[in-house]
Amino acid sequence: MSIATTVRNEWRVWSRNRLLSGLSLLFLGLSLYAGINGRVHQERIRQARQDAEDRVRIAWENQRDKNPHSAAHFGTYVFKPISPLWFFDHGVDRYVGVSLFLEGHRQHDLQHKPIQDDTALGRHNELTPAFFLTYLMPLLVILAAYGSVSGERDRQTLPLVYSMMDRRRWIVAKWSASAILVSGLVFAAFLIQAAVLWTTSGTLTDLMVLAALALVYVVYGLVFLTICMLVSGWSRSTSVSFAVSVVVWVIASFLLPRLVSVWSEVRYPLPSAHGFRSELARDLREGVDGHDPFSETATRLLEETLTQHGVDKVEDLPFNWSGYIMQEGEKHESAVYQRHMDRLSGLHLSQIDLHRQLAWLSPVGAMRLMSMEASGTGLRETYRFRAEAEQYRMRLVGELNRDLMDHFEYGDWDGKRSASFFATNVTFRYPEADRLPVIRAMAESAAVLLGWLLVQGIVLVGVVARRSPV
Amino acid sequence: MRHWVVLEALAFCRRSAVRWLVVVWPALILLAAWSTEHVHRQIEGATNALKSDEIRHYEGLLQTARKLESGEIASDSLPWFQNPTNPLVAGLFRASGHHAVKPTSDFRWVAVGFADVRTPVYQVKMGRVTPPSAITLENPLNQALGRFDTAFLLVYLLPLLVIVLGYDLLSKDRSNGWLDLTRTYGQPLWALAIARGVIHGIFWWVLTMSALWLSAAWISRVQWPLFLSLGTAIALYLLVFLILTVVVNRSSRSPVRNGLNLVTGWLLFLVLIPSMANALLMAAHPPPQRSDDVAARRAAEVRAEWDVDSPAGTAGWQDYWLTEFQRRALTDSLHTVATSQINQSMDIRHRKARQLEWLSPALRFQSELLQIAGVSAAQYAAFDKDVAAFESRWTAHFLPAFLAQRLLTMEELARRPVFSPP
Repeated sequence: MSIATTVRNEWRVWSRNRLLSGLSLLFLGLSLYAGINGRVHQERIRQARQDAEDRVRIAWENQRDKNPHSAAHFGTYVFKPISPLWFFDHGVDRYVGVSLFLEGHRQHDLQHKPIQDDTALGRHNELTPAFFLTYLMPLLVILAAYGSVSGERDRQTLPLVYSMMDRRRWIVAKWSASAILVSGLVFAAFLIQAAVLWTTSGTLTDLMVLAALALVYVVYGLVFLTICMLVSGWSRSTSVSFAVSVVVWVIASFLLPRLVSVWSEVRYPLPSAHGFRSELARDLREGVDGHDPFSETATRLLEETLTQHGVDKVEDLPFNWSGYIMQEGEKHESAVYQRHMDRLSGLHLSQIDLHRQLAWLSPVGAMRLMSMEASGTGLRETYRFRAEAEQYRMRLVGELNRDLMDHFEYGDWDGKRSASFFATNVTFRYPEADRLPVIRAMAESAAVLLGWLLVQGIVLVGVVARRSPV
Repeated sequence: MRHWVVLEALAFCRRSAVRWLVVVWPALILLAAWSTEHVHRQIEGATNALKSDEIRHYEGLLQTARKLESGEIASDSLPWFQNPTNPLVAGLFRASGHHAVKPTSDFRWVAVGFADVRTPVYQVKMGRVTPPSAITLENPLNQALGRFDTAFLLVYLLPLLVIVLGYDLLSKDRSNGWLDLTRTYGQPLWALAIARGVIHGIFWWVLTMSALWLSAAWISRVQWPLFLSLGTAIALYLLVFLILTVVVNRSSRSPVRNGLNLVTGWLLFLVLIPSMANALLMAAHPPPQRSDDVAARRAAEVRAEWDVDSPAGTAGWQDYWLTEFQRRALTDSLHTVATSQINQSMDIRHRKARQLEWLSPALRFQSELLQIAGVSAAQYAAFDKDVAAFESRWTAHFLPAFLAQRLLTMEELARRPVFSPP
C-alpha cells in the first residue's frame, strides 16, 4: 500500500463524514461573516475618526483670537487611525484609547478605550477571522485527526495496516492527508479574507502580509495536527484520544496564555501608576519650567543666554525671552516624558517577548501576537502612533513658541493671533507603517513553529511507530 | 438502593482523574484567586496613594488657614492663588478636590470584570470630574488575552471538567456490556443516570466550594450571604451541564459521540454564543464613537469661547474665573445633546446585553459572578452616576462663596463634602 493510496482512503472517509464537512463549511461561512462584519465596523470607525479629525482641525482654526501660548494650552486632539487589516484581528485596539489630547508642556495618555463603553458580552472573544483561525481551526484539526491512529487500534485493524505497509510511511501518509486538509482550510479562509481586504483601502503590501500570515497559520495548524496525532498514537482508545486532545486544546488556547500573562507580570513587574507619576514629576522639576522664570534652572539659562548674546537685560535679547524659555521647557519636558514612557514601554515589550519565548508551551499566545502585529493592531502600532503624535505636538507647540519668540515683545501676554494664523499651523499626518519588520518577525515566529513541528514530527514518526499496535 | 449508590460513589472516587483533580482543581482556584486579588490590590494601592495625597494636601491648607486665622501669617502676604480660604484654591486648584472611590466587595477576588478597564476613582473639583490619567500601567496585551481570574476557571473550565469526567457517564458501561448487567439488579436507567449525575454534581460542588472557602478565608473573610449566593450560582451552573451530560449519555451510544456532542455544547455556550451575541449587539446597537464625542465637545468649547466675552486685560482674577465658569456651563449645555445621546445608546446596549445573557448559561453565570465581585459594568455605571451627583454637592459647597466674593470660614474648609455611595 502506497502513501498516495492511504491519503486517498483517508479523504474518502472524510468525504463520508458529514459532521466534519458540515463543520468545515460552517467554519468558512463564519469566517466570511466575521470578515464582512469586521469590514463594516472598520469602515464606520474609520469614517468617524476621520470626521472627528476634520472637525477638531476646524475647531483649531476657528478658535477665538488668543495668545499663541494660550493656544498651546487650548491644545488639539489626534485620533488613532485604523489599520486596513483591522477587520482581520482587532488586537489590543479596544484596550487602548482612541484619542490623544495634545497641549503644551505635557504628554497625555490615550483616552476613551472602546472596552470602557462595552457590555459584559464585550469581554468575551471577538468574532474575527483571526479568532476562528486561532481558536476554532485547531478544533477542526482535532475532529479530523483524533482517531487517525487510535481509531485503527479501536477497530483492531492497526496490526493489519502495519503488516501491509511500513509503520513510519503509514504515519507520514496519515499526517499528509490531514495536512492537505488543514492547508486547504487555511488557504480557503485566507482567500475569503483577501477578498474582504480588496474592498478596503488595503494595499498590495497588506495583501502580502495576509499571504505571509496564511503560511504561518498553515504551520500553526500543522503543529496542532501533529500534537493530535501524537495523542492519538499514544491513546488506547478513540474516546481517550478525543478527550485528551480537547483538554490539550483548552489548556493551550485558554489556560496557558492567561497563565503566561500572570507570569509576565511577575517576571517584569510594572511600576505603580502613582509611583510612575511621582518620579515623572520629580524629573520634570529638575529642568526648565516655562511657567517659572525665577527657578534656579531658568535663572541659569537666562544668564547663559544673556552672556551668549552679549546683553545685560532680558528686554535687550533679539527675541522674546518668554517664548524661548517656553520652548526650552518644552524640550526638557518632552525628553523626560520620553525617557519614562520608554522605560514603561520597554517593560511592556519584555512582557510581550515572554509570550513569544513561551510559544513552545502554547503556540496560541504567539500566534495571536503575530496576527495582531500583522494586522497593525498590536501594541507596537500604538507606540508608533504615540511617538508620531508626540513629534506632531512638538512641531505644533514649537511653531507657537517660535511665533511668541519672534513676533511678540517680552511681557506682551495680551497680544493675540487670529484664525488666519491658526489655519497655517502644521497638521497631523500619520505615515504608513513599515511592514518589513512585521514580515521579518513573522518569519522568526514561523521558524520557531517549524522547529516545534520538526521535533514533534520526529517524535511522531520515531516513537509512535514503535508503540504496540494492540 | 443505598448500597448501590455508595458503590457508585466509591467507583467514582477510585478514578485516577478524580484523585488528580482533587489536588489540581483547588490549587488552580487558589492561584486564580490570588491573581485576581493581586489585580485588585494594585488598583487599591493606586487609589490609596491618591487619597493620601489628598489628605496631605488638605492638612497643609488647614495648617496655613489656621496660621492666617491666628495672625501668624499676614493675609496680605499670601497671593490670592495661595490663600487656602479662597474657594477656588480649596475647591479647584492644583491638588484640591475630593477623590470619590468606588467601594469594593469582600469577594472581589472572584472576578476582575471591569475593574481593569473602568476607573474606580475620580477627582471631583468645582464644576468638573476628572478620572486619573491611569490607575495601573497595565499591559493592554495581557488584558486582551484574557484574565486568569477565578471567574475564568468557574465559567470556562468547570463545565469542561464536568464533561471530561462525565462524557462516558453511561455510554462506557453500555459499550462494554456492564450497563445491561447493572440493569438486571432492577435499577431503571434513569435512576442510574441521575444517581451518577448527582454524584458528579456533589463532587464538583463540594470540591469547588471548599477551594473557594479556602480562598475567601485566605484573602479576605468569609462573608456568608455572598458565599451562599456564590454557592447557589455554582450549583445552578453545574446543574445545567450535568443535565446536558445525562441527556447526551441517555440518547447516544458511543463515548466519542457523547464527547463530541458535549464539547460542541461547551463550545456553543462558552465561545460561539457569547461571541455571536456580542456581534449581534454590535450590529444592532453599535457602541458610541467617542471620537464623535470629543469632536462635539471641542466644537462646543470653541462656540463657548466666542459666545462668552473674555474679561478685559485689566480685570481681576474673579472676573477671569467667572468667565471660565460661564464658558464651562455653556460648553456643558451645548454638549448636552451629544452626552445624552451617548448615555441613551449605552443604556440601550446594556439593557439588550442583559437580555442576550439568557442565550447562554455561561453568560448568566458570569454576570452573577461579576455582580458578587462588585465589578460589573452596571455597578461601574451606577458609581459614575453617584460621582456626578456628588460633584453637584462639592460645587455647591464652594461656588456660593466664590460668587459672593468672600473667603471660606475654617468650618467650611474643614467640613468639606465627603463621597459616600448609597
